[in-house]
Amino acid sequence: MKNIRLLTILLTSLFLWYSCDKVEPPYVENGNGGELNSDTVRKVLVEDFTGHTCVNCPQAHKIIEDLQQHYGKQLVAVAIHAGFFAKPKSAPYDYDFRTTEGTALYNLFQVQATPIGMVNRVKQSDGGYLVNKGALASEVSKQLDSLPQKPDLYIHLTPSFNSSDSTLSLAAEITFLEALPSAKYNLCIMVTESDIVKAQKNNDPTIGSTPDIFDYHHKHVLRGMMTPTLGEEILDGTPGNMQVISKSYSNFKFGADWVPKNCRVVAFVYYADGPKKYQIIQAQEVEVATP
Amino acid sequence: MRLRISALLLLFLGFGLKIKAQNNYGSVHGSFQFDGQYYNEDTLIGALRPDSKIGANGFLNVIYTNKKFEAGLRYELFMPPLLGFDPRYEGQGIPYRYVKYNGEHFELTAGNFYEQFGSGMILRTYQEWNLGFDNSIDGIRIKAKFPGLVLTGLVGKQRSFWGKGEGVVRGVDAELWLNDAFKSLANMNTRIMLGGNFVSRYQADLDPLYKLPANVAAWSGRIGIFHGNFNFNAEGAYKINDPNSTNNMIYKTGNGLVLEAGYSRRGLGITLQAKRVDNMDFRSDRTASGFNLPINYIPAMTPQHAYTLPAYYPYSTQQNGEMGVQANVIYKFKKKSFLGGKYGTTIDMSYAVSQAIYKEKPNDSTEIGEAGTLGYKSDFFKIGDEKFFHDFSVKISKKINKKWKIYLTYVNIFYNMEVNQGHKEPNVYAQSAVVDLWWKFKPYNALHFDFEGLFVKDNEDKGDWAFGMIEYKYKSFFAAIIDQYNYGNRDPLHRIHYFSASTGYTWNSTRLAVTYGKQNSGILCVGGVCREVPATNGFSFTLSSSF
Repeated sequence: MKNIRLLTILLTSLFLWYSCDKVEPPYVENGNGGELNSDTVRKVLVEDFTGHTCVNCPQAHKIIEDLQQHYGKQLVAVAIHAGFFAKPKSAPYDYDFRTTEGTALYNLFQVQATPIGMVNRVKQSDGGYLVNKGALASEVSKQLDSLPQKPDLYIHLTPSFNSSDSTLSLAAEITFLEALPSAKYNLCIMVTESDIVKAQKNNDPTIGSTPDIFDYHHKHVLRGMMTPTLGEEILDGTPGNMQVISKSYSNFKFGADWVPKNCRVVAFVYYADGPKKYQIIQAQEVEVATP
Repeated sequence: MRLRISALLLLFLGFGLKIKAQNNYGSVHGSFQFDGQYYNEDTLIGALRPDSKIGANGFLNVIYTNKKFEAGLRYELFMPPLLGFDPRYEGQGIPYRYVKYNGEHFELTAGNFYEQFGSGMILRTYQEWNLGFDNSIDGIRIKAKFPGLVLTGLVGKQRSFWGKGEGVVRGVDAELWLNDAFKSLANMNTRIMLGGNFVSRYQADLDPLYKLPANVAAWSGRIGIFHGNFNFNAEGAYKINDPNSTNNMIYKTGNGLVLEAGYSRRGLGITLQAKRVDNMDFRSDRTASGFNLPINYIPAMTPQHAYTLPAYYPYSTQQNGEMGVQANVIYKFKKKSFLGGKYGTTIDMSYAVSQAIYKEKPNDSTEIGEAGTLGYKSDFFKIGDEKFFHDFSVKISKKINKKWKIYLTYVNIFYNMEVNQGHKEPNVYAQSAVVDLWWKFKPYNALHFDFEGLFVKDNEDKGDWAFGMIEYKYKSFFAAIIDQYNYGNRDPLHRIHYFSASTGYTWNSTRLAVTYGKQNSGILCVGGVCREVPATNGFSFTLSSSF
């Protein structure tokens, strides 16, 4: 009986060690409100696999919007419509948001369900690259708050849109700012469009009407890529100090219903091999220049 | 090539380790299972053929015991995982290993272990191979055992595929059997158990948007009373604020209550259960969802159907808000009575229903479930408007004579499609009937006939189904042909027969089964935890053994 009492006391003491954290309101953190708008800062790419008949996807879109408000230009987002819930169905869900490149990425990263995302395509502890919507914020924070603000490389983009034939040309200049290891470096160029007003399934009444939001403003939708899906190799080896690599692309044809002034060019450089394969080093985003 | 070598290695080890020497060197025992599937593409039923063409899941469990010492490991292989299993399992290795010392008063485990506190509402770790579910804890567990009292303490991280979850889980549990602990109560006819536990998870707050609690605690208290043929169990649980992926980052606390009462005697068994849970999804990673990293388990309030069509719409437990009841009566009409007949007749009736909990806005300016707020208020005794599920079933079992046995089943189902499968599709009202006949026409020889129907109101979802199986059994051998026919599908092109043939053999504790044909897509649930099973066409093979 004495032993039991002693044990109980020991266990109770252990009990007290296990603190519980009751959080008092306000529950929302104050961000930098997008103050860091200088272009030579670390920028992270968030890719959001989504679909217009995916009822939980608007919650993921909201999280990304909140993160963009928090981090400003440091967060570059792309919505990749692919998989079952992106398939066109009967009206008003008959629009096809999908792209060949988006479907290829969906298959490459073994997406099973949406919404699901990637943050700089960093490999996760489970061996995959995918991040639940609930983990997007903390993963973005790991990339932006834990690493130096100065990026390892800088991407300068100069787009030029020809309205007569709806084609886009682009000059990209990559400057290596920090010492990086010997590896293969690939450059990807995506074109996105925001404010595409089409229907979206939704089950969260705090975001909009359920089960459908008929005039949903789809944001940063992947429309296509100016490079192959896995990009173009820009360097195989050790980058030199302040080494500059220039690339140019031309005659990328816009779709008939795309609105150029709502379109952006998203570029990123990533490791194409080695232990950090697929991991994005820096992202960049500019509006499509329209005359 | 690697697959063949790994599979052969597993087979060799599985059969080679048939050493059960009980001598001074201790003993070795374990179990083994290998599931392989070859896929054909079948666009009509939506069956995919992966690039690998073959899926293979396998494990070998080996346990060595020597007096008070025990050590074990489980080797697993998914190369690649069968379709329907999470692709993050791909690979092979030893995700489960432990050593244990089992003394008279203390038991110490280091490594992976499974544990359950009470009903599991606060902590339950377990493995279900066919679901692809394993949330074992890798850490240290100490049990102190005294007459009538068991104290358990543990700390560790949970398995997440081939890695670990981010959060650290810590817990203590105490279970006291009064009759065994106190001599003055030893002879009391009523046995009483009291229990309590406390579990907390630590996970750093890296979220830039919300202030998150790094330490989230939950606790529960339970009581069990056993008197003669009667028993009563109750457990109440509470969880502090735990904003997470599954509750849309709300700060509401969680609570749960499970009640169970039962009576059993020869020929009669009655069980009544009631449950209410509110915001009780509790994981060792607040961003996890689905099968990944649950710390707790909410007891399911649903019957487990052994037949194919009655199990077509299984209920998926809603940990963040449900209330339900389940009643079950099993009665055997005596032999030689009017309804019992020569051999007796058993009737088994059950009814289970689950409903949403009542929710209202926490204040005028906040919507229900709004992220970064208290979420909602919920009156404990009020029932929500939305029904999730009901299942009423009756099963009659009768031995007609020395050669014939018959089992008749009727099931009435309501299935909320959006809640259970996440599709915003119409709810399903269905009825199912089963005629199950066994004919032992010669010694050691039997024919088994299983005919089932599923009748869906207004032909919602995939409409009506018919199922037929004829199986031949001779001692340890069986062979069966099966057809599952979707005759009621609204799309005539999808009124498809899913034919398959299966055969197998059992040698002692080793079983081999081979199947060829089409398999319909569906949901496989065990205890309210469910995964999707995709449609497949091809050849599958299962070998299992224990030694």
